Amino acid sequence: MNTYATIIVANKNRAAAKSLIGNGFFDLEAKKGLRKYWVSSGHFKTEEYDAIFDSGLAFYIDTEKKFADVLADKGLVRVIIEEE
Amino acid sequence: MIGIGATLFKVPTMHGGAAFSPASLFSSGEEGAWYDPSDLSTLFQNSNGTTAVAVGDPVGYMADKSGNGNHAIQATSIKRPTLQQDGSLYFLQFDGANDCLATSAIDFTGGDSMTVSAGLTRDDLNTSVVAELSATVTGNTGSFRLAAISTASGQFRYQSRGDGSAQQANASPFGTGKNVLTGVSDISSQVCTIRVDGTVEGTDTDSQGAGNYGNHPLNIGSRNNGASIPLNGDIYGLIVRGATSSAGELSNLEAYLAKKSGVTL
Repeated sequence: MNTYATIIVANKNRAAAKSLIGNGFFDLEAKKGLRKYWVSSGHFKTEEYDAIFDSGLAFYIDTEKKFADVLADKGLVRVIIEEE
Repeated sequence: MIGIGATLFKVPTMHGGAAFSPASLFSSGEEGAWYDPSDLSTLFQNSNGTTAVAVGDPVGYMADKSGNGNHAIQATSIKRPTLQQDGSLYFLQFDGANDCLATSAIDFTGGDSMTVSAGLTRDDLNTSVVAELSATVTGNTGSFRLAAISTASGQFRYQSRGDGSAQQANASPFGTGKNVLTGVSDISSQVCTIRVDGTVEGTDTDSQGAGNYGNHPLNIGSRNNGASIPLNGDIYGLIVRGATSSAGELSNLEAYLAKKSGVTL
């Protein structure tokens, strides 16, 4: 089973969150002022979602909105390396 | 016995590509791929081709219907696009984070011409990959990219390269929304053309270098298996053909994808 979610963790919790559910998560950087956050968005396996939810490591979890809308709602700006 | 109203004299109609099948584009052994999200029998949740999908499910495996076996997969669950439905239309929704489907390397080394066409919706004007052969067109010879470019407020772009630098044909900003996007290229003939909704928007005739297309993976919806420039939008169908296509073939192909995506040409 899967749970579609956008999960945001603060920079200080990134390593712990990765350690909890895997290195492939929380690689999308976002900022709010000087604060740095890391985001994963998509279909989480239910055990991954539950582990993060129960851990208290997440800054914010949304299971309904699209990725871009979640960032906008939280006032976060995705850090993009410009490519053409 | 044939009664009144029987179909003895009924003439097949071909309006809007109704009698056209993209399979015909591969009937002479052309390399390439044909992806059709409306054919749920070709979609699976897991990258090993197991677990059928329903609307709202992740898609980790999309079978190639061209007969070439170039199935597109995503092994990482959070990078899988989502199957969605709008009335009679089905599409893969890419979330603009890092969703991507990618094939194993496709051996296009036998030719230097290409046709790439997709029915898509863009939900923003960010730079985003629709389809890219290789990890990046700027870093690999014998490659192409069909994309949208943010710096020109939503311009579409088709890039192609042999062993020289990539040449690009641009289509004026189309904004967000739904389009049928096609790139046609021939390395030795120095042609790189972009078409939008059945109309030629631009052609670049500068040299792309020499050589054929390469043996690279095809990335769909993002660059390099989700590493960057993700598509925030939907793909209704995608066809990649290792050949140029005649005017009639392009017309049929674009009409087919327009029907699949709800675009009026």
